[in-house]
Amino acid sequence: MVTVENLTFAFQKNEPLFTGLDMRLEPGNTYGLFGLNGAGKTTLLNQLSGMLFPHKGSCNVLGENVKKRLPETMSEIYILPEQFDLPKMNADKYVELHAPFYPRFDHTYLSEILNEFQVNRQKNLTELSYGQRKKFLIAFALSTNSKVVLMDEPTNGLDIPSKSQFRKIMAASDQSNRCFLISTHQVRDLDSIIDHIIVLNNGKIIFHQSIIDISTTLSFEKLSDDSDKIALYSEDVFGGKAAIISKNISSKETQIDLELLFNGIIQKQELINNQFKS
Amino acid sequence: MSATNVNNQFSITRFLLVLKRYIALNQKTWLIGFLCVAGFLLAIAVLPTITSMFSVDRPGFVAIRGLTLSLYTLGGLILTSMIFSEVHSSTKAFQFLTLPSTTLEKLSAAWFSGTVVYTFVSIISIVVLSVLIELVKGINTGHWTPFNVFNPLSADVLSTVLGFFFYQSIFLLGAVYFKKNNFIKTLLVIILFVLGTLFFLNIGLLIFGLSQNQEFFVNFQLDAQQWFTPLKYIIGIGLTLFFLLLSYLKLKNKQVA
Repeated sequence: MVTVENLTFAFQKNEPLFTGLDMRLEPGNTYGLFGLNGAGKTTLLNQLSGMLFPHKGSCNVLGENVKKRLPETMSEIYILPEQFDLPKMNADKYVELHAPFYPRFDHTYLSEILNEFQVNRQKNLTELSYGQRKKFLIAFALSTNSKVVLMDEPTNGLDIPSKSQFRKIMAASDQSNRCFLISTHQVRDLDSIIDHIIVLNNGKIIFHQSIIDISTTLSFEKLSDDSDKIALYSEDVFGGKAAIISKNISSKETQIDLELLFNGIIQKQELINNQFKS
Repeated sequence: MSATNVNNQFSITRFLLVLKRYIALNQKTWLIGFLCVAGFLLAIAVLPTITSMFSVDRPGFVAIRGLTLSLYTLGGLILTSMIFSEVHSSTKAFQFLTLPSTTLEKLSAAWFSGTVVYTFVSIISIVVLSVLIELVKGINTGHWTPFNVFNPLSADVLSTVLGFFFYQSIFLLGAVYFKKNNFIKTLLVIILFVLGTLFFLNIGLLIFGLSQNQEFFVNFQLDAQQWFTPLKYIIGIGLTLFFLLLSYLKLKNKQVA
């Protein structure tokens, strides 16, 4: 559905952000895109939405190069940026002006999400709080029924109940033919909705695995200081160590600790990746 | 308007949707601009009339007719300069750049709103304004001059509109090209271009020794040449299309700021 081939891009000549980046995203999946500050997550989303052009290589959505920004392709992509300004009009007017560009736009679904989020449709969008505006745009993004939805820090600015609502809405949305790519720093906000993890570092994808593969390969345990288990990566926590351990037959099923996994990938990239090779 | 059938060719339905979007986004700026200009013109035309400063012989609207046409051109160029402001904002550009519509639809809708729609609204406004001014003048002076009401089909109006369409294409390019202060920057480029052309023309005349040749200038009356008027229109249309093409290419390759 989404193919990135040999993507090379730099904002400044001698400081390449991506050099030969490759990536494939399949329908029916929700991908979590993680990376340190400045890793290029937002830039990658901008490349995938045709807002930035690669210097070399290509980004294809449904077999078409997004650089061309063809209406057929763009109607299947929706990007929710982290920072955005909306025009001075109410939600209904915004929807009236923008929804007709998306052939499968679902007005009923939009109303349901806006009601769930308690967004006032009559109020001017510029008068809404940042969180309210974000909730409106999340609702709009999901209602477009575009096949590729790119979200940059969607939970940033949302209050705690809204984050739960967001997870609930995402979990309930029909994802069978759609692909979500969600970039975030707040890994705990999204651990229940993503089914693939992509880690971007130094312009490369250093980790790309499904949650199923992660949970069958790695175990996330709290070890006491005198434990004889060998950790692939560990962090000191209150009363012991939070550790990533290579899973064996006797290992018990554990909940994936995304934050620990992310830190482990950044610190011990090769060691963690090697676990998935066998 | 219903959802579009998505194809990659130019679509009239999408063109109208993009046009509607431009008008909705810019309607407040337009309205404020029109009200300010109309208020100003009304004030300078009507105030002397009601304070008896206007003589009966001096027609009401005719006194500001030239100024009105100049303001029509100036206002249109300023509004055109602002039409792509969202493209240059990193927080607004996503709505324009990812809008499922072709570049040609986006550009032609911007051009259409800045020329045809703007001219239509302006002319209607000027007609209404002239009727108002003539009415106030008639009431205050008892001297009615209905033939002084603005006639949009007169030759000088058509010539002004054509001139505006030409300059509008330059300012449309400026609107895509420059990130900030588009109007001033485009105006500056035009001034520098004209000055540069005049400079090099003079250098050329000096080189060929024509600058002191009075006979050359007497014989070289462009306006008197038969071919001049059609050539002027051909060059004007050609340059307008050229600036629109440049705007299209620039917009097609526009990336987020």
